[in-house]
Amino acid sequence: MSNQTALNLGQVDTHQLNIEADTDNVIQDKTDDKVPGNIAVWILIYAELTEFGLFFAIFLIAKAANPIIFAEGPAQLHTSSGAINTLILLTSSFFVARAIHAIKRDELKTCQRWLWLTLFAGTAYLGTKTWEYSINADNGINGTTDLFFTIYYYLTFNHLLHVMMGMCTIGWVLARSYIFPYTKDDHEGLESAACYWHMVDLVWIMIFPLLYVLR
Amino acid sequence: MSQDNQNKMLSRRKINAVWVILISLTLTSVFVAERTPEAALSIIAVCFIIAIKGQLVIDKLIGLRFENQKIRAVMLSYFYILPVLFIIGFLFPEAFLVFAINP
Repeated sequence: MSNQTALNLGQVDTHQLNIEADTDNVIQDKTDDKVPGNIAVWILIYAELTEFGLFFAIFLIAKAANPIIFAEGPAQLHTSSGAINTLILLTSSFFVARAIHAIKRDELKTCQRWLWLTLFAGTAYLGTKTWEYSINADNGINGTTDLFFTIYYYLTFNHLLHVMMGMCTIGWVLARSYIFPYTKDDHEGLESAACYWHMVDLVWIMIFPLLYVLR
Repeated sequence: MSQDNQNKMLSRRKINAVWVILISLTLTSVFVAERTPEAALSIIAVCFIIAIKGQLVIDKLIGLRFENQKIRAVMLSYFYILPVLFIIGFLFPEAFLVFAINP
């Protein structure tokens, strides 16, 4: 009999399993082959990470060949907006993790609230990025200013598109949750969308220091 | 408890704690980069923070710590290898010069 079945039948003392007394815990089985979401989204995630990995390599090569441009470039960027966007995306990942935690406890309404917050965070990211681009434009900076800014716009705008795609997937699973509600036993699509959103955040964790912080 | 089927708990408190740690690490990396006079030290520190943040998101927010270990290994390797490349790229840029194409 599995531990989960024994728990359901009330036949196992929870202390034997060393479970915390916190009542909002979610049990995760440690199984080697369980894939969060589905394998298709992980193939997509690997492809996206490879794409951005190549961009990062190109950045480092271009930096090696043009040290002066790449030393001056970051100083002209609006670091505060980059930091704000990092905080926004980390918070959005927190929101989506809470949404998954809620659906694993069959708390659909709570899950939907966290998904709305995720969309709100995504919108805040888009607004902050638009604000940053407008500041750049006011300072006469665009994609043809020099090689650093060409790569900067290519990286950040590409990431922006991925944020928008992530928002579309989160929006889709949120809408779907109202029509065909997810349950703790059936939420693969929701988990897939959550994994994609985490990937978007993970990429920005790399982009922000590379462009704005490392000098 | 079976070795092949250990149950681990994911609590709200842990997710909240991870978020606080991630925010703190982000602010720390900005502070370190701005205030540390020694460029090499700040670059290494910031890249180390990148790796930690990546691992926290992968293990705790995505939840791969207790799920598919193959996927986890690939994701973690991305966040170990790239920060090292960043360090090399900023401290020893000539290492990447061999890949540059001169017009």
